[in-house]
This record gives sequence, C-alpha cells and structure tokens, in this order.
Amino acid sequence: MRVAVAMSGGVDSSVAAGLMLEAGHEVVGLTMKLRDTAPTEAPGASCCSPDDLRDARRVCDRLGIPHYVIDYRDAFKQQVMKPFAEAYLEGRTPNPCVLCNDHVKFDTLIARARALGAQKLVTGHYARIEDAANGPVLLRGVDRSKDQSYFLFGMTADALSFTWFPLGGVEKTDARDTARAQGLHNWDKPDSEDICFVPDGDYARVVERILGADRVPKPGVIRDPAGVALGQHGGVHNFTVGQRKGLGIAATERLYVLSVDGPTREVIVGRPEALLASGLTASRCNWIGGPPADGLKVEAKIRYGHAGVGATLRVVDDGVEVHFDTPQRAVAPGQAVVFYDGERVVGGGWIDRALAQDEIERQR
Amino acid sequence: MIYFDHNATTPTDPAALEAMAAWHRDGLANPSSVHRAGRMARAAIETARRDVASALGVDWRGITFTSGATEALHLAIAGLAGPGDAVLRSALEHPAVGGAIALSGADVVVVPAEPSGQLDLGAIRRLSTAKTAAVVTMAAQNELGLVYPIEAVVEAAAATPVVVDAAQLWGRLPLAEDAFGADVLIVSGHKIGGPPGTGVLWTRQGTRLRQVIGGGAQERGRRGGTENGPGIVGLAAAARLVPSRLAQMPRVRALRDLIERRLGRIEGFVLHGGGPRLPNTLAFRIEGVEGDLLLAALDLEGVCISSGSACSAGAVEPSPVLRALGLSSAAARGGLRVSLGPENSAQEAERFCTLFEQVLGRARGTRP
Repeated sequence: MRVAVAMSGGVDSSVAAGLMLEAGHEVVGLTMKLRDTAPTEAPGASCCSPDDLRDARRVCDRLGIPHYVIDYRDAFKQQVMKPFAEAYLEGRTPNPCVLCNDHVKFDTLIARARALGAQKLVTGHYARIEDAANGPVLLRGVDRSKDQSYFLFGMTADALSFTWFPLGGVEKTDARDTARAQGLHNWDKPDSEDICFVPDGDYARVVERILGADRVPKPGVIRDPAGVALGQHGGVHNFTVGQRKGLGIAATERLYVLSVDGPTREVIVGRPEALLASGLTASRCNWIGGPPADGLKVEAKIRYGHAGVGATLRVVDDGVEVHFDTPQRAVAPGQAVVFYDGERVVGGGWIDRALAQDEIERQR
Repeated sequence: MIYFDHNATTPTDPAALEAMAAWHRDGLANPSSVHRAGRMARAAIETARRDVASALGVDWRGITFTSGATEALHLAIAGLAGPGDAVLRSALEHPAVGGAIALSGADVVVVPAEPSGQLDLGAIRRLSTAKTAAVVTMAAQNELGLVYPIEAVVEAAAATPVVVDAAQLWGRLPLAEDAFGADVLIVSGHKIGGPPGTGVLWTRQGTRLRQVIGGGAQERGRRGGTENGPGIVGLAAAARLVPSRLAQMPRVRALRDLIERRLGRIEGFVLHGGGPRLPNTLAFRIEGVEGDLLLAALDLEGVCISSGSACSAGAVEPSPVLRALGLSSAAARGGLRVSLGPENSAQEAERFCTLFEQVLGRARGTRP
C-alpha cells in the first residue's frame, strides 16, 4: 500500500522509511518546512534547517523514494509558535511539541497524506499503536528512555487508526544500527531533543521575538508567599514553576519559583518544600478509547521528563482533578499531564493549576 | 511516464545525443590545440556556429557559445551596464536577469506587467533615461507561456540596446527575422532538445560588450575557457532540427487545447495570463487547491508537470511571476504549468486529464 513517511532528516524517520520499504510498501517521503532558519544554525540542533531538508532528501534518494517538501510555516506560526509565546503572557509554561503533533503532524499532514493517496502516515516516534476492541490504543515505546507517548496524548481515534509508528517496538540503538545497515548517511546524526524553534534553549528571547516589542511582558515584582516584595524581574516570560536559577535576587536560602501570575506580573518565590503539590486540575482533555471512570487509578506524568506518580482521577465538569499518591514537585500550569494504565495511554490534558493537600481533603 | 514539463527542460534529441557521443568517440580534442585532433574540434565548433546562426537567422560572427541562457544573460548585462547605469527589465523576467543586473552594479528599473501578464510598453518609454544602458526582455514567458511583441519593445527602447531572452520561444514559434531587430539575442540548448549546460549569446555587429570573463581568447575573447565542444555540437544538432520541431507545433497546440478544454470544465479552473501564447504551454490554477499538492499527487501517478512555486533550499515560495500579475500569495500557490513537446501524444493528453481529475477529486475529498 502507499504510505507517507514524515521525514525530518533525522535518523528515526529515515529508519522508519527504510523499514516501510523493506515491508514492501510504496513509500512517499514528506518533509514539513515549519519555519525559516538562519543559515548559521548548527545542523542537527533542531529540525527544519536547510541541512535537515537536505538530509531528508538524501535519504529518500538513497532509498529511491519520492520526496516532497510541504510549506507549513504559516500553520506552524499560528498554531504552535504563537500559542507557545502567548502562554507565557498568562504565566504558563507551554508545550509546543504536543500542539505541533495535534495540529500539524497528526492533522494537516494526515490530510496531505490522504490527498496524495496514502493509506497510512508513518513517523519515527517511539510509541506504539495497537488495535483494541474499542478502537486503536496508544502505548508507550518499548525503549522507555526514548518513549514519546507523552507528546501524543492528543491524537484522535481517526489519527491513531491512520498512523503507524514502526520504531515503537525497537530500541534507539537498534534504530541506528538499522540506519547504518540501510546505508543511510545520517545514521549517527545527534538526536534533537530541544524544542525545534528554541535550539539554544533561550526561551525568553524566542518569546520576545514571536510576540514583538509591543507585547513583550513588562517588568514586575518578585514576592515571597507572604506577599513581601523581594525584587524586580524583567518579565514573566523569564520564569517557569520550579525554576531556581536567574531569579536575580539575593537570598540566604535557595529560592524557587512557586507560581507566575501573568495579569498581575507577579512571580512568587519560596522554599523548595512549598513547590510540592498534592494534585492538579487539568482541562481540554483527550481520552483515548473513551472517558475514564471517576476514581480511576492511573500513573500520571506531569512533564516529559517526569518519572510518573500513582494518582486517582476525579472527573469534573470541564476536565479532571488528579490526586497524587505522593506529593510532586513543580506542577507547572500550561504543561501537559498524561495518564497511563501500565503501558497504555489513557489520555491527558492541560494543567490549569496545582492542588494543595487541604484543597483535596476538603472534598473528601 | 508522461513528461509535460518541456519549459523546464526538453528530452535530449537522439541526434544531439549522437553528435555528443561522436565528439567523444572520434577523439576530438581541445579546439585551441594546433594538432589534428584540435583542428577537428575547432572545425566541429565552427560548423556548429554557422548552423546555429542559420537556425536563428542571424550572422554567425555574433555567436558566442555559453553554458546556458543564464550565463549569456550575465555576459550581456554586465557587458552593457555597470555602476551608475540603469537596466530596464520587466516584472516577469527570469530570476537570472535580476541576479545579473544586481551583480553588474547597475540600478534595476522594473517595467510593470499588466494583470494579463502583458508588458506595459508605454512604461519602457516613460522609464528610459540617459542612464539606461539596456532593456532586457523575454520573447516568451517561461511560467505563463505568454509571447511578447518584441519588435514593439525594440521600437520603444529607441537607441537603447535591447537584450532578448528567447530561450522559451525558440523551437516553439518562429523567431522574427533579423533577431527582432534586437541587439542581443539569447537562447538555451536544453529547451530545444539539446543538452543542458549549453546556450548562445548573439550580438549584432557593432554592439560592444565589456569583457566579463578573462583569461583565454576563446570565443573571440568574449568567454575565456576551453569550449564545451560536445555540448556545442549537441546544441547545433538540436538547432538543425528546429524546423521539424516547429512543424509539429500545430499538433502540440491541438494537444494543449484539448487539455485546456477538458480541465477548463473543472469548477474553479482559472487560466493564468492573457494574450498570445506559446502553443505548448498551459498555465492555470484550480481555485482553493495548492499547486504543490497536485504536482506531487500527479508525480506519484507518473506525470511530470510544474507548479507555480520555485523551490530553493527546500523553501517553497509562491511564484514572483504570478504575484506580479496581482495574484494573492494563496492564489499564486495554486499555480500549475503544463508544457508539452513534440514527442507527446493525444493518448498522453487524455490520460493526463483523467489522472488530473482523479487526484483533484481525492485532494478535494480530503481537506487541502
């Protein structure tokens, strides 16, 4: 069958294309041009650089498959970069990779694949999709250190049934070996793990560039939890919950960002134990295979690198409350929370706020 | 495979292929060498020069062989204009023209295009000043296939030298006598079944070009460097066949018209450009459907056409030519170009229309 492979120029999507070809499919390589890149940007530091496009083309030439570049710069700007920057205005810590998957890869790109007569969209994500009685389910990647299911919780049933993740069942090192065996020149290309449009990790500067001078957050006040002003800051977009460095205030003890308030431009800092939360509320949820039963026990991941914590889901009007089995550090509004039942992704949502122990107890 | 992209490049004619193979097979050497193998090469190039001149209907003494139309444009523009000068060009010129003017150091003055894609001839008169060193114009536009009244341009330019890029016209419509009365005529080998990497710069006797490439005395000092012998004889072989290409153009025009009639029935079909056209070119869009999508979908079905966008370093930009006609960026992204050649058949044209309707139906059935 004809399958479209989303090719970033990286090793994973290249191997995915090679595996599809070995399986006997008619493979079409698609590369999304998501943004303009400065020619000085180091290749491999992120996707979408001219070098990455060339790598994708080179791999397709090597495999003998057609390759097309699709211009999604407008969609990426409107649906990923702008919401990313605007989240900071509200004092939230955004996750653009989930937005990109939801709105660009597993929506617009699927439509493009269908329009080209493809019956599947294939990507190099480390996650698995399996058929179950109630439709497709999403599972963690077998290589737990590379598992990307967290970023994919927003996939609809339609997207899941149209998508294949051929690397979900393999280890990253095996993927590199396969790439080498397939003669792909980029087999040892470094992984890209940063946000693609923030390759140097300087979030604040990128936010300023996207928002433009007239919308950049203005300076505000740093306070302690009792409301005592400790100093000034250069804008709420410089802060995220749990941050310790770059506060710019002199203190005898280690202080952490506890909360960021966009409208009042206040940043609250305090001692590390004040960062612990007993739960959170989340909305705009997506449930894979139907909504959960109230009281469902899950494992919750509150950010990509989070180890996960046992939790109970309480279904509320516009989302869920998540009650942790043990308190968790740095629950950041704006990040995604993803729920697992063993290997399976139950669903996920966007964190609105942390819940303290007494808020949870009051309900009981 | 159905190849409908002749304005990009034409399949190499077997006669050109044979001429190039013979050059290598027969041991022709450096044309500047005194020995026998060199003399054979010199003789072959000089025969090619006369044959190409005859095919163009110009004096052979004005012919300089180049690596293509782009190089010829650079030699002509930088040869005529420099810092302090101005060069008039139309808004619809090939990017090579803008590039050459920029490198020459001359100021560029853009002659606006009518929304139909026709030239504003009055503007040539209005915009000409004492500083104007050259007027550069295409004889036929590559993306739209529009044919321009070059004699009228030459008249409007008055005493200013006119550089005519006839790369797309040659082999599709007869060239006007005496090179339109222009001072410089430029054509390309690979648009007439000749090899890529070959082109011709012709200058009228008395037209002085500053030297741009130094070093050797080849091509009477106009272009230093060992001549591309096999390319030149390949180009000449294709040039000799131009009359037979032209003889087939009525049939090519009928195929183009067949495609235009059938696609013209599709809802949202918009023809790009108005006025006289090359017989082989159809430029259009389907309203609301991205050209690159249809291009890729047809490619997967074995059909080669072209879209209205130029792909450079992977970035896909809407065609500046379509934008110059006043099309929005979104509309320009819909641009498609079908360009036919003598080896195309009615069967291919019919098959193309059927495939086009199929892939369009699929593209519209899904979201764009």
